[in-house]
Amino acid sequence: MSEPILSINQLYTSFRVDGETIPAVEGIDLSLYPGEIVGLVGESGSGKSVTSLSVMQLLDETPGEVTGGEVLFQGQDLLKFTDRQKRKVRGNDISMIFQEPMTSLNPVLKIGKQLVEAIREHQRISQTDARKHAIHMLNQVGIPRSEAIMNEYPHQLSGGMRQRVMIAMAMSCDPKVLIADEPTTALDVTIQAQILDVMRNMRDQHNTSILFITHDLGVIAEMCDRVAVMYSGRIVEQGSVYEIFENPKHPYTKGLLGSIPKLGAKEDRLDSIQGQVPTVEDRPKGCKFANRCPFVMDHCWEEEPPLFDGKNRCWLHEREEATE
Amino acid sequence: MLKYSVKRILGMIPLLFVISLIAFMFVHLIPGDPARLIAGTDATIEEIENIREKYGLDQPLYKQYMDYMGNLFQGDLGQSIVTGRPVLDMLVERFGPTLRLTLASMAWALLFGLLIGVISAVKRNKWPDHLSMFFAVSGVSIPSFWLGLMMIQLFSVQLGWFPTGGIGGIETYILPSFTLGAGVAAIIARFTRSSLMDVLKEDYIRTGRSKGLTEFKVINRHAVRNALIPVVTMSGLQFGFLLSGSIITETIFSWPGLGRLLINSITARDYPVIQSEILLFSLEFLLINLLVDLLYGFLNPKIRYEEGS
Ligand SMILES: Nc1ncnc2c1ncn2[C@@H]1O[C@H](COP(=O)(O)OP(=O)(O)O)[C@@H](O)[C@H]1O
Ligand SMILES: [Mg+2]
Repeated sequence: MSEPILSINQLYTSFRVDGETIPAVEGIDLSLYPGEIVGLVGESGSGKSVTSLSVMQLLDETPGEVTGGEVLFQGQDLLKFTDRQKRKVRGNDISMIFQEPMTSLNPVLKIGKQLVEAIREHQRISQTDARKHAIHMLNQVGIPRSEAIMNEYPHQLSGGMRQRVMIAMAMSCDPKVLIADEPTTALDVTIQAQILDVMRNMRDQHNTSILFITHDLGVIAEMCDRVAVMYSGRIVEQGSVYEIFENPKHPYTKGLLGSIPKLGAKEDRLDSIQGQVPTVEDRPKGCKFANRCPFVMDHCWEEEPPLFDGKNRCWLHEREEATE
Repeated sequence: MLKYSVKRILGMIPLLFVISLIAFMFVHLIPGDPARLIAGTDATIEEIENIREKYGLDQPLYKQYMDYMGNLFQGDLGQSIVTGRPVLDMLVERFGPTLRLTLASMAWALLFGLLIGVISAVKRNKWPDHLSMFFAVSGVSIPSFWLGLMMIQLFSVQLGWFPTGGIGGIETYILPSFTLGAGVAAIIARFTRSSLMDVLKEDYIRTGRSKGLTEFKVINRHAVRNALIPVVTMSGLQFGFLLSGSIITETIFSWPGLGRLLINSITARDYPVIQSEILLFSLEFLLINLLVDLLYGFLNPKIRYEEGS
């Protein structure tokens, strides 16, 4: 395979709340190759959004801070960039869409103005050409009456339409990487399918790599080439979509798969995962999943498993390897 | 937008009637015999009877109200008991100075209030914020009579830069408008700060940053206009208060405005004047409310479109 376009190495991000440090992401490794869609899946609170905001370097406004690791974009560490260099990357080389289409657009500015602004921030083109390009982008994401919509305000559009606008805006400078943080979670199922279609089209036409964040494995199966499963600020399992769905190794992944309603599901699968994601203070010392794991062993409580083979963070897997 | 404006203006008509009724009732709501009140404590029975007749107080209430409204429509607000002059003339005369002082004060207040508010929201919890909020708290808590007297002491008596009072050229406006504007500036500053800090947490601000915009553009294009929406309402309200004339500031600076007229007529129990000032102040608030709503619609497209159509 070619060089990764984006590679996150040993990323650590934490928040300072009332003088205490809360580690939200602890040592993530993740690569994204050109034209690839990688899913990042995990329950709410596992650190998916924090990971994406760390890549975009948009943690400033929260008391969040990347405390270690590197984020290489085309071989250069974004974490070492100056503010000016970071701004040149944002929206131009790497862009992002968010979970809440209803609130992600500025309510007092016309759609056209918001699109043109994104285009002209990074490209030296005239207002007229920028408008033309904006309309072209709206057409690409399947918005009917694109010219009329340029003069409308966000509240005049449905959630699905707004998310299309967000995609058009994010794609308007032809970025190499698109980060989509739960782009369809707030939408109903039919609209969700349409938005996924638009994103796949975008990938096909522009060869954009997409980091697709969701808590819904069903969406992953539909969209992604590879998957990374996140839990408590770490990746607990990763592999191709085929590997993860056909042969999940980590009990957490199995649990997540078990919680997808599926006809003829195997008997030995979990119905859903017991309990809840532990808060940072309550995280077990060893494997972070130990307190919810149906296969937990004494050793799991004491020592955190490494990512065996770069794929799976579970002591059971080590035993399998040894016996094989 | 036009439709919305027309709707709003038509909606004012019933309110105007209620206000006229309240102003009319003012004299009658004061406990005791209005004729006796107007005539004063040492009036003879005859004098009281004269007054009763002169002001139509011997007529039934509904008839009095009809007459009152009839006169109102002809621009006749009655005569001052003290000076005997038409009340309308007195109000017109006093309105100009108060309006001009209000405008000057609002100019200060908006300039400093918005500037300080935006700076402290952007630099929150850093020294510019602490300094700004120190001024804002001072502005709210320093009584205007004290501020006014201090300014006269420093700038008029000691330095001799500005006159101690009275109305005239632009130099006579500086001290009273600053005294009056300081409190409003402080209120606007604090309001702008909290409004902008709320807006800066919004998702679309993050969207702006994710496009690669500079912080200046994010604040200038995306945050400030949204943050101003509630500030407009609050400033309008303050404007309304100032337009009623500040009794304290006008008295300190011998300003011939509505505030001083009000305090003088209250002291002299000049009921027709007090009654008409109530009417005027209500009308002012109503109009300002309308203006604020229209401005609100202009700033907030959601209102403009949904309620307008
Ligand atoms: N602004 C913040 N302040 C403090 N802690 C935060 C903040 N944002 C996120 N966190 C912490 O990071 C963890 C991961 O959050 P997040 O990345 O939003 O989860 P996900 O997107 O997977 O649902 C949360 O459990 C929370 O403890
Ligand atoms: Mg999230």
